[in-house]
Amino acid sequence: MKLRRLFILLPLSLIACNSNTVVDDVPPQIQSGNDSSSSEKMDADGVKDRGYDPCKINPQLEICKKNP
Amino acid sequence: MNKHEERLQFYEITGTWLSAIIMIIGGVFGIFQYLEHKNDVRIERSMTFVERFQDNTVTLSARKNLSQSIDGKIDELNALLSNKDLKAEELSALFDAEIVKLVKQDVLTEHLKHIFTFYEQLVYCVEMELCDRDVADMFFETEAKSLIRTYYPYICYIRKEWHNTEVYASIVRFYIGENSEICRE
Repeated sequence: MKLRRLFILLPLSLIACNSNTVVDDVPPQIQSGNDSSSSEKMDADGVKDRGYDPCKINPQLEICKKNP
Repeated sequence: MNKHEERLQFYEITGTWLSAIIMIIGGVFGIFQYLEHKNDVRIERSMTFVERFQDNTVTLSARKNLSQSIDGKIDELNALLSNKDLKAEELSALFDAEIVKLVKQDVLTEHLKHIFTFYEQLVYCVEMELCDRDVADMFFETEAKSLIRTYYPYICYIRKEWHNTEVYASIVRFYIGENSEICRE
């Protein structure tokens, strides 16, 4: 019977250990579902490199036809 | 077999089955947790690229220089791109020449190399499944695509200079598609 108890307790303790190691260190940006912080910071830094895209002005440019 | 022995046997059988079921559930749960942890590590690695992009002084300086350079040339570039009299080939040739001239004039070579290398490392990280693709796309796809679309003439220029068609091939393939067809002959 002691062996049986061991068989039951071992997986139970494994589960308990596993649930303690649940990773909750997902970065706050992802947890909050808010990625706007990146663009805000970029603007605060004076770097606005999200925008300029020649294909938005003229899609006839050869590079734009490769991956519209 | 008396009643006590029968009950003992029942408990033994039930115990064995129960422990087997718990073992299986524990195993599946463990695998699930392992995969979840792996995914979280991937997200974390991707976020270190975001931090580097925003906080690394060399990267910031390179981005600022590129941004300022384009700002100074934006009217000319827009006028060229909006010229309806030009055929597609002429337009591309003139745009290529303007961008190469801009890179040389504003000494953007080192800044471009730095940013392209940054994206190259990110692409390797995603392709090796060490970084999370969704996070990488969410934070970098727009910037990377527009940067390559703007400065691809410079990539073509150094490929020609170095006689190496594989220069920055990984980022071109990842963000544009076909690597071999971006440069005109």
